[in-house]
Amino acid sequence: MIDSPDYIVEQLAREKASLPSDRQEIQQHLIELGYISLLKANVVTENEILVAQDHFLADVRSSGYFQASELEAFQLQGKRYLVRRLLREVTDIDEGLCLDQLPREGTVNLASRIIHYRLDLFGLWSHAIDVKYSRINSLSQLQIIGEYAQVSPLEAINQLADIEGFTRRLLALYKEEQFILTFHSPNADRSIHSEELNRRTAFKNQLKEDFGDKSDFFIFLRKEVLKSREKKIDFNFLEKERLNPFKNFVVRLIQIHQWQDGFYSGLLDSDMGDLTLKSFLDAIQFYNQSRERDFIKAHRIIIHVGKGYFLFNALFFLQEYMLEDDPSSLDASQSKVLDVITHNLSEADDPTQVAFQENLEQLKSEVYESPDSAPKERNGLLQRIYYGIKRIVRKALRFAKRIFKWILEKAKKAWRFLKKLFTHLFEDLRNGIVAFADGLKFLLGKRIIQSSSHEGSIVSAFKMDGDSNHLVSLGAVPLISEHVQQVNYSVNAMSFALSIVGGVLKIVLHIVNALSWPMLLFTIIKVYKKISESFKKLEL
Amino acid sequence: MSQQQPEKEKLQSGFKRLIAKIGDVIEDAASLEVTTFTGDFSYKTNQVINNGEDKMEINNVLKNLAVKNQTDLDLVAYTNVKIDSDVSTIVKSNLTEKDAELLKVHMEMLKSSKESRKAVIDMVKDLLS
Repeated sequence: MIDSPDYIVEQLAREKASLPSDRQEIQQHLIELGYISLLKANVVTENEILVAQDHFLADVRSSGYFQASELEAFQLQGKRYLVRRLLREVTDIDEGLCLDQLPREGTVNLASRIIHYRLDLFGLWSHAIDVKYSRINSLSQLQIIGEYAQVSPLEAINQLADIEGFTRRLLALYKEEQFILTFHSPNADRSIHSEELNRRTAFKNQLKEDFGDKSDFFIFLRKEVLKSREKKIDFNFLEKERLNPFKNFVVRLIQIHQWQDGFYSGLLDSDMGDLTLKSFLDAIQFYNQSRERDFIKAHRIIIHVGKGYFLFNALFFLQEYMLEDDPSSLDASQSKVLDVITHNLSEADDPTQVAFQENLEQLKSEVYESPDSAPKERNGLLQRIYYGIKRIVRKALRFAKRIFKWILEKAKKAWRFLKKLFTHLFEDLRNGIVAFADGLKFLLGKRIIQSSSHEGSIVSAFKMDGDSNHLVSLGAVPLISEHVQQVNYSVNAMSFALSIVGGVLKIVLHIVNALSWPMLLFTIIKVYKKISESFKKLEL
Repeated sequence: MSQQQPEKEKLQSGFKRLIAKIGDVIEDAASLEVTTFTGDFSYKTNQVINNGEDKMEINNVLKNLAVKNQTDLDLVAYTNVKIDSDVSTIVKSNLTEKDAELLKVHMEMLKSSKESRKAVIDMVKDLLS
């Protein structure tokens, strides 16, 4: 057994068993799109998920948003993959679906659900997601976004499919002062009210840098708000600012950015409470930890003015942290990140590789045992995770050189980011392992396809060289067409699985004498990503 | 570390064996054999999955069925396709209407076998390129 390829298959099965199912993500998206009622979020059954999935798939097929070849390529990795992949595409707000027209009055379809879902993310929807599209409820809310972004309602909903682009647009349209936010958090944790956040000078300096010291807004803040004695502070102004609808919308936008990056795991509620405040500080500390820019003190961006009122320089925060300039494609970015980690692994000595593997295991267990990961209903809102991948991968590219070290050192400030990033990588690993193991089983002569009913059975076994044996019991004639279909599907899936095996072996051939388990896992992720994307592009 | 090292060696030698095994595929792929049996048999999944050392070999299932005298299996058809495209097919004589359905299965499986072989050969070609 010591040198048998069976060992690889067994280890892969163990690794796969340690990775969680995708049930939570599927469940969350089905709730987000109204296929499962929010009220059911905490008690949903497996059967309800299956029914909702089929409803969603039927809507996808009639929507025309996806090409048949694309659906077929996803299907090659199984129905569950197809459902999850489509759900993710539909709920994506990095490079989400663009609608070519608004739904007709009174319709409930995928388009109406997407519109209500996006409005809900922005706190502009108070009805169930699956209600009919209407001028009174749906269009009127789209018009609010449209007014903010100065576009038509149709363009507005499409702007929300690209949060980064939408943010850039708002930054370009509005004066800088519209991004200096005020919020009130009287019960904020003492650690947040630290001495540091009471310092005015650094905050003023940053404002000067952003606005120049001649602007009326800056002069007003300096004279009436940024005072060290509370008596001299204009709290009426702060209260009025706190209630400004556009600024509240910007608060929500930032909350969404923070949620996408994994810094914020609370409810999306536009409430600048402790959790949101802490997420700002965590983000600032994280970027400081990355040392990819100058160290930035938190009080340059956020200060406690007095009586629980805070001023927050969202202009600086958004420009500095939330917008990525790297134009690399998602595939290229992900590939570069994986290349860097694999390269670091290949250069590491054995004890370092072992330590890396142990910490990776810890990361894995934390990703999936996190109480945040199950979608829950709280106060009529959904506690959820952002599963879109593009944004986090682009950020990972920025920090690619540090990821290996962060894992090795269990870097505290970066751990939340790593958990977010590895949620995706573990998921790709899971899919990659399924395909890789399937291909290996075929090569090792362990691939059996069977169709059975109480009347009979058909069993087919394929060997690596293509030879095959088939058993058809006498009562199994009614099963023939189902079996042929199943075999055809398996053979198609096999070409995908063998492409993964071939891609992995091609790399392993060159490093076999240095190969370690984590190196194999990262190689599987990398090859899986590459091949699955190229299969997606195939005209099947 | 002491536990990890043998694991690493097992992994490496597992891959070396796998690569060697794939190396033999071209030789084996020179001909393709598809065999279809029928009979009054019943089998349970665990016979296919857990019935011995070489647990997934359908031949073992066939052997087991025969040894336990559960059934008489009949050959429906056997096809051998050589690399030079020579095709030999043996088909059960006196086909009934039901048997004709089974022959259709056989022909479909022949197509699938060719596609499987092509997928493996493509993989090997890609490995060598």
